[in-house]
Amino acid sequence: MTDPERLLRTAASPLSRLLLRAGEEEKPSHAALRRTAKAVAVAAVAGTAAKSASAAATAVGVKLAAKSATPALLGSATAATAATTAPMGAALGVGVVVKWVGIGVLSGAIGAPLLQSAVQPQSPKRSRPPAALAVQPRESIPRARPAEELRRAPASVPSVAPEQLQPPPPVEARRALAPSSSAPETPPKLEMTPASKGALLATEVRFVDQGRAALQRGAFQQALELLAPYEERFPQRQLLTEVLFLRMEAFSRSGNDDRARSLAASIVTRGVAGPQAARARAVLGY
Amino acid sequence: MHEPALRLVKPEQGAAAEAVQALVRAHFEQIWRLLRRLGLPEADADDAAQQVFTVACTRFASIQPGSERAFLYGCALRARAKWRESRRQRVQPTASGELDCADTELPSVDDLVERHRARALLDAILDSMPDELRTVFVLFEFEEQSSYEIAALLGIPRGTATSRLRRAREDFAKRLSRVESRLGFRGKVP
Repeated sequence: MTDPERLLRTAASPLSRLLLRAGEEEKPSHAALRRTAKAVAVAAVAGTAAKSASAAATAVGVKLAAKSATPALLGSATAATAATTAPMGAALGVGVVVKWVGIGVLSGAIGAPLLQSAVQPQSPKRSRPPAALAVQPRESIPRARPAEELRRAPASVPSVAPEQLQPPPPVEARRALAPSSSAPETPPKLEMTPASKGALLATEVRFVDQGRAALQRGAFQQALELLAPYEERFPQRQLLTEVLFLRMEAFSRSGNDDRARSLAASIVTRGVAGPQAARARAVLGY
Repeated sequence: MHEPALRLVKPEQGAAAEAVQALVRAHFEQIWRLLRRLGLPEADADDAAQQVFTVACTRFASIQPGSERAFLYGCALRARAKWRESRRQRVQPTASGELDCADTELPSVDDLVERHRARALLDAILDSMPDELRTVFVLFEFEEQSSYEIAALLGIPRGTATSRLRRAREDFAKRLSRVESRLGFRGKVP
């Protein structure tokens, strides 16, 4: 299924071309761009403050863990809540964020001991040593989870809310995990054998090679169409950088500078190094 | 044990802030233009675009590499939906989706030389289109999203996106042809 050409390039009606060109060429004011850049900077600062405070809340949880198992669990949970609340709060303003994070810290420090006696009867159900939870690397708590789950999500679907980032596990995973219910506290995780990883990578390489070959032939549109279903077909996305690079080149060489810059920004901001990053910076005009 | 975690977080946050600034530089114009073509007046488009990037900043960690543009478009579409909802109570839609301007209000051919008049006419045509067709039309024709990307963005099957695009183009052509006949446009662009 091939997309039609854009009307701007093919429309027979001059009026149609005139209107479409006028619409395409409209640009925002520099003032609007500056205001947004400032607003984003403020939101970033708010996010940093919130995350630092929630890290402090985690620290409170760790200290409490040394004294008792249950308070540590409560402290971690409170810190996680603060971390979840923080990004949403940042959009509302620094004051709100600080307020919520403050509540998170206070909840971790004060709420945990107060609630200890109430929760204690349930604590024996936890077979895992709580200290292990408390010293879990921070990276794996707020960041790794959405990233891992997003890899399994459909391609190019924008993520909206944290709850939407958690699709149900694949049917195969549920089937495979059904008999192993002896470890109910371990979250379901789909493990791949090295052989299956290798086979998947080989398939991915062949897929990407087709796009690269089309690009080398100068068939830019075909290259883009060949690469379009990449994210959907390969949720592991082991060659994502390469695909982004090929798309960037295809857009760049076909004269679509907007899309090329967009992809170049994606490559640069994701910390890619080497010649691909250099080329991306060149596209961005750095 | 918590000290290393704090040290790990700080540079990452700095990089994220820098990355979002790069996103603003790379995408602000597109997002703003999308909002404009979807009917927001300039001032509202400024505000909505700012909201879009603020959301992107707060949720940067959850944006998939390569999906930044789709994420931003998704935010923009939601911002536009909110704007439309708030406006619905104030503005009555035009009956039967006809162009909301009398013959006397249409610009002359000479006037069309001015871009802002052309844009006003374009927006009048887009305003008169059914919303679901307008959205697909704008994403495809102005933002150069493929039908595949549009389908993912709107959460619809690709076949549906393709079908909507076909109908949107027919609808646009029909409305444009009406305008041309009323203008007496003879196919000459000054």
